[in-house]
This record gives sequence, structure tokens and C-alpha cells, in this order.
Amino acid sequence: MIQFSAQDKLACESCAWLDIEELIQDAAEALQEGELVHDDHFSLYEAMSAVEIGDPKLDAGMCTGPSGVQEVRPASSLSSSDALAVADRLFAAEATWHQGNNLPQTVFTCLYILQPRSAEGHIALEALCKATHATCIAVRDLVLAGNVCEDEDFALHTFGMHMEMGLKDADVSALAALTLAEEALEALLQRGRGKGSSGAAAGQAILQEHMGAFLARVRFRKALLKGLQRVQKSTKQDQDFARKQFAAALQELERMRDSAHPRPQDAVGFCPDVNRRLMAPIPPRNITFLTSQQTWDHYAKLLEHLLLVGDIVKVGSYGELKAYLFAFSGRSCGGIPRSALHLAVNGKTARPGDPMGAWLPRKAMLCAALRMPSSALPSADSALFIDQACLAVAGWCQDMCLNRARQRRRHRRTVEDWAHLYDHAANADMSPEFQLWMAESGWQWQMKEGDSQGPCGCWVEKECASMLLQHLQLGFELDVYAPEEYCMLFWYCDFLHGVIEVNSRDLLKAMPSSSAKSPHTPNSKAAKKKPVTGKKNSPDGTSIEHALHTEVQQAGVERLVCQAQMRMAAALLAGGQLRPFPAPFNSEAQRFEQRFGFVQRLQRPEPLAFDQYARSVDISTCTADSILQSAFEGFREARRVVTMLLQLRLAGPADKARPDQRSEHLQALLRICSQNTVAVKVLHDAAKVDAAEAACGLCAILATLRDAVQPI
Amino acid sequence: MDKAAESDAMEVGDFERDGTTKNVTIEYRQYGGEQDMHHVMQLVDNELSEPYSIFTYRYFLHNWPKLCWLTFDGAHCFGVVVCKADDHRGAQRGYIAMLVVEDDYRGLGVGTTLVKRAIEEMIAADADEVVLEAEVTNSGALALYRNLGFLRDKRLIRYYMNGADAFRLKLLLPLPPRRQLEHNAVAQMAALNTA
Repeated sequence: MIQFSAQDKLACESCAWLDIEELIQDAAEALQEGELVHDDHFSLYEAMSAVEIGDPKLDAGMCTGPSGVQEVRPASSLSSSDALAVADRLFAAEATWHQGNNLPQTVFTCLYILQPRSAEGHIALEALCKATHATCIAVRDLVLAGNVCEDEDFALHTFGMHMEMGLKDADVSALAALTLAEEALEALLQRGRGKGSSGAAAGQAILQEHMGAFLARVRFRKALLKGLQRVQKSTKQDQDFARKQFAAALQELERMRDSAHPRPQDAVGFCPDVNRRLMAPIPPRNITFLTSQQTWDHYAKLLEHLLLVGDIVKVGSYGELKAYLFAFSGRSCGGIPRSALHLAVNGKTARPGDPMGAWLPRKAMLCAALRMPSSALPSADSALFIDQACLAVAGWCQDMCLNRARQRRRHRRTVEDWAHLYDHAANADMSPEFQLWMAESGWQWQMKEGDSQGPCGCWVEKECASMLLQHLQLGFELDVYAPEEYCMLFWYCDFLHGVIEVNSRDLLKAMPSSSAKSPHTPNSKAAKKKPVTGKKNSPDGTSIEHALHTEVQQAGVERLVCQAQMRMAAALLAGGQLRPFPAPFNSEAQRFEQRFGFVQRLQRPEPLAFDQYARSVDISTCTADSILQSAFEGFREARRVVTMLLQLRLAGPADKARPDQRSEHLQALLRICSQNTVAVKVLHDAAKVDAAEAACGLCAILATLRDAVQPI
Repeated sequence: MDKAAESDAMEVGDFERDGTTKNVTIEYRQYGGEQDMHHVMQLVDNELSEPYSIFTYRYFLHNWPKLCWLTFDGAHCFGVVVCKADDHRGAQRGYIAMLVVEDDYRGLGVGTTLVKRAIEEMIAADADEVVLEAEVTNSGALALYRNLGFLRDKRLIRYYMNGADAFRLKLLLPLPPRRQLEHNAVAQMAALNTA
């Protein structure tokens, strides 16, 4: 399967080999001890990539055992049990590849894939081998196009393995083979049922069982391959089709689990070192295949996450898109569903002329979020702002499809983009046409003293605060923060929730009500003919008001929780349960700078300085006991408000798009408040008895304290 | 490339090793040249899981000999730190590449002292920050660097060859007075331009 081009072969044959050992020896003797021949271009990267030939720790190509393509038993001579073992081992190999290992050491260790002719004669195994190969090509193409996977997520390098045939040829051939195998297996099973009463009943039953097992695997492969072809498209029709296929594959998976071969690791036809000579000159990685149980669990999770991708069709507004992406990203999905989702939300994969999904973050969606007429924007500046906002939101969508660690880092890096977007928003807000349009449309925007911010700037500031909050909260999830930092982190989170609360309220107050008379856009004939927000800002309509109202409530209650958490962290520092951060080389000011320095590039939200933090959490005049008391009251108040909001949600109309997400989020907040209330009480009571006792159970208390839920 | 390397000695009290108590003299010595190379390679190859080629050792030791410190018990070398310092996106960044203390000598604060020596050299060379990577499960190393003021800056998924995650640890250093003045002047100019 490894192919060398004609030029490569010619180049090798026409090489003249010279012995340079003597030359090197002379050069080495001319050097004094400590002297070094060093080219400036030989940097750390080259040094780390270089290998010492013959060192087994470094030389991946070093021959340490049998290698090269081995002889394999023809599939036609395998018993049904042995063939099933090969099929299940192949699933394990593929699942191991999905988890970040490379193809030559996983799927391509299967000799039936490397030598397709050896699989001939066993219709099911041959079809499964072809389909596995086609699925690998489909997945690789999907992940490459998705552009959200890094080296740590997915190994895309094929090391010269044959992957370039193109999905179309591969999957046509694979799907044909699968259909053929499916029909043959169905017929055999049908015939076998008729022979149920024959003499060799036991042997027949086992054979029937194996044929049933193969049938499930063939159907699974077929559904998975078909689903992967369509899931990356940006139309509802494609997404619905893909969803149906993944649901079918999930059903077959249960049958596969029930009929799994007991020892797939003993399957014939696998050679771990077969591709060793093809590996890059990097230290070799040892790869352990997933167990049978882990393999089926992997596919179950993969399919569940691919089904989640299909839920994108329920999204119809910017608020819903945000909530959907927060929920999806919180599931820590693997590279395949994340790539599929990114392709589905960037809209580049739809066929020309197909109706684009309402979930795409395009002009119509963002205009609706700001109650602007997308068909005739009020001014050139506002049109430019909307274009830039589309780009920023598309970038944010891509970030949300990265793995959680990369996502956190990307959020930090994109502050510059948000700073530029704020400039565009300010230009739009200040343009006379936009001001006129606002007046005519019923906006009641009140400029604050010394602040020229308008609704566009207000919206950008709110969205940027939400992104910053997500960056900070991901740090808790990734275990990046030390407990001594919690106080400043909760302090900053409180501020950002405050920005969201205030700005959402300002937009809510100023926005024309959904029943207001349709505004007209100046200088636009089209706008004079048809109402701009007449359909209640379709697709958002009145839901914008509802969404903003919910954001105000949500941010308000998050602030209460953050404030209480900050007090509790301060009390732990004041009470000595947390030692002050050691500082032989720097101080708290540098640590503050390290965590929040990147926001200095922003105009809004206003970057906060260390001095502001130091002043606002100055506890020099307070006792640990009084701060704990204050934290206790804070959690109690937050719990009261969360309970009230939960009751209101239960009593109110259900959220059609996502009935459970907000309630689940509130439930999580309630749990955080309740657990912390108990933790504060324990700490308070223990401190009365003995300071040492107060330190007991600190780990549990800190775990409770850092418990944070992702924004919604 | 032999240079006048710094060296000093420190008496350490009773030290239990192989079930017997003995008095050990710990000597810290800056990398002195080619004769120290095998100490560094032997220690790192024995104690760290990541394989390094001779080129990697030479890259660090040839370019930044002052940022490599070794520690000896008599003639026995049992600890080493290997670092570099260069420009990173406009900041002078120190990087701790390898830190090894043999198991028998752990718990004496030798690792902390080695790192401190290296950081002091970096500060003398106007470093703005110091970074390194440590495995997320290496609680000993994480505690050591935390006690020196390092924060976990990033989590790096599947960073090591064994598939383990790493934390990028970072120590932001205060600006030296001269650079602080420059920094303030730039900030004032920017404020004036904005106004």
C-alpha cells in the first residue's frame, strides 16, 4: 500500500554514495575540547527533532524486531470466530486512532487493510476493511477541513500511507461492498433460521450468532459512513439525514456490544511494527489499543456527540447559538464532532443554492440581536460594524469548537479582535444616520455622562465580558489556579458579571418594544416599502427581550455567588488556612498582571488594575470571623435568589428551544451555594475551637469553593 | 569554552542515606565546560522520561552555560538544572528546560536552590519572565515551583510522549527600575496621544 513515485525511485537508483567517515574523522580531530560546529539556523526545534541513529529511545526507524509486511492468513481460511476477532480488533484500532494516536501504529497495523487482497473471500470482513479505510479517509478529511484540531487532539499525518484516493472513490466502493455484505448476511441468516431443527444445531447456532454479529457491524459501518458524509453540511436536510444515520448506528452498537468477540487482542493479521520504517524521525511512542469495553464506550460517546451536532438545527437566534455552543463545548467532545460542528456552523459546505441553516452567525442573526434592519442598515458604519461582528462571532464559534485547554488560550488571544470590534461599534454608534435611525425606531438610548457608548458598543462590551468570563472559568475546570488566587479571580468575575448585568439592562431599557411601530430606514427606498422589525425581529422576535431579561437575572445571581466566594477566599487567607503566596522573586501585583494583564488591550470592559483590587479587598481592619460571617450571609442570599428564580421558571412557560439548560444551570448554582454555606459554617465552627482544626478538610472546602459552572 | 564558573559549598547536617546517617557537603557549581557535559547527560537520561539527543544538550549548554548549575556530593554529581533565556514576542524569557535531583538527595531543598540560582542569573540578564513545563501529576515539581511564585499559565494536553498533560508554569518578574521608568514614559505618551 506504500507507494513511491517514479521520480523517487529514479532518484534513489541514480544516487552516488560516498564514504565520508574519513572526512568527518579529520574534522573531529581538528576540533579542540569544548569547540563546536554550530550553524545559527540549528535552533532548539532542530535539536529536539534530531535523532541519534541507533538509539532506541530516539530512533523510531530502528529495527528492534520483525518488521516489513508480514504474510497473513487469507480471510477465506479464517473461522467465523477468528474473522470476528479481526473485525473487533479493527474497531479498537480505529478508536485508538481517534484518541490522538497515529494511523500507521493503529488502523494500518492490520494486514487485511494493508493487503486488501488477503481480505477477499470473506464478504463481511472485506467490506468492513474497505469501509474502515473509507471511514478513515472521511474522518481525516473532516478533521482537516474542520480546522479545530491540534496535534494533541488528532494525528492526521499518514506517514506516506495510502489515504489520497479521495473519499468519493473510497466510500462508493465501501458502501457498495457493505450493501453487498448486508444482503448476503441477511440471506444467510434467513436460510439459517430454516435449518434450526437440523442435527448440527449447536454449530449452526454459533454460526448464526457470528453472522448476526457481522450484520450489526456492517450496518453500523454503513450508517456511520453515510452520517459522516452529511454531518458537516450547513443545511437542515443534511443535518437531519446525518442525525438519522447516527441514531441507527447507535442502535447497531448495542448489538455489537452484545456480540463482541471475547479476546479481540488475539486476532490474527495485526503487526504492531509493520510500519515502523515509515515513521518520522521522532522518538517512538508506545501505543496501547483500547480494550473491547473502552472501544464500544468510545463509539457510543462519539455517536452521542455527533447527535448533539445535529441539534444545531434547533438554533434560530444569536442567544440560542451561544447557549448551544456553551452546552456543546461543556461536553468536552472529541475532535471528530468538534470538527463536524465547526463545518456546520461556518456555512462553507452547503451546496450552491441550498437554503442555509438559520443557525449560521450571519448578518440576519446579528442584526436581529441588535434589532437592526438587516435588509437596509442605517449607515455605512453600522454595516461595517455588522460585517466585523459576523467575523468576530464566527471566530468565537471556531474557538468554542477547540478543546477546552486551547479554547481558554484562544479566548485570551482574541481580546485584540474584540478591541477592534469595539472601535467599529463606536463608529457605528456615533454616525448621524444611526442616531437618526434610533430616534425614528423608538430607541430610548440615554448617553451616560462622559461616555459616548451607544447600543452597538454596549453589546460588544457585554459579549466581550462573556468571553472573558469564560476564559477565567475554564481555568478552574483545567485546574490552572492555586487557591491563593481565588480571591482575585472571583473579584474579577464579579466585575465581569456586573458588566453583563448592567449592559443587558441598558439594552433592554433602550430597545424599542417589540410592539412598537415599524421604523423606517433613512435613505432607503426598500425600507420605506416594508417594515423592518415588523415580524418582531424575526427570527428573534420578542425573544430578544426575554433573552436580555434572563441575562440580567442570571448575571445578577452569578454576582451574588461570586461575591460570596470572594469573601470566603479572603476569609481563608485572613484566617491563615491559606498561606500567602510565597514571593521570593515577585509580588501579588505581578501575579495579578499575569492573570489579567491581557485585558489591558481592551477599551471596554474597562481593564481593572491591581491597585483597584488591593483597595477593594483590603481586609486589614476585618477579622477572619467577620469575613466568614459575611460570606455565609452572601451564600444564603444567593441561595434565596436562585431558589426564587427556579420557582419562577417552574411556574412560567417552558423554553421551547432548550427547556432544561437554564434550570440545570440554576440547579448547579443552588448546589454551589448550599455546599459553600455548609463549608463556611464548618470553617466558622472549627475556627472557634482550634485554628488547626479549621485547616482540616481544607481540600474539600477548596474544592467546594472553586466549583464553578460555565456561563449559559 | 571553559569559563570561570561560579561555585560555592554549603554544609548540610545529618542526612540519612541507605539506612545510615551521614554528613554531606553539598556544593553548587555553575556549568564549567565540556568536562561537566557527561554529568548533565547521565543525570537527565537516568531520571527524566523524555529522551534528549546530544544536540539538545549542546544547544542549551553551548549557548547558555551560565544558566546551568550542578550540585555535587564530593565527586558525585546528583543534581542539575539546564536553562536558556532569549526573546519571546518582545519579552526576555527565561526557560527552565531540565531539572533533576537524584531520588536519594530529595527533600533537602537542592532543587529549589538550583532553580533559584538559575533565576538569579536570568534576572541579572534582565529577564521579564521565566517559564517551564511540568507534568500535571508531578506534585513535587509543582509544589517546588509554586513555592518560588510560579503560576500555572496554561494546560497543555497530551504534551508528553507518554500522553500525559503538562502545565506551563510562569513567573512574571517585576520590571527593573530602569525598565519601569521606560515603561511609565511609554504609558504616558500613549495616554497623551489618546487625549
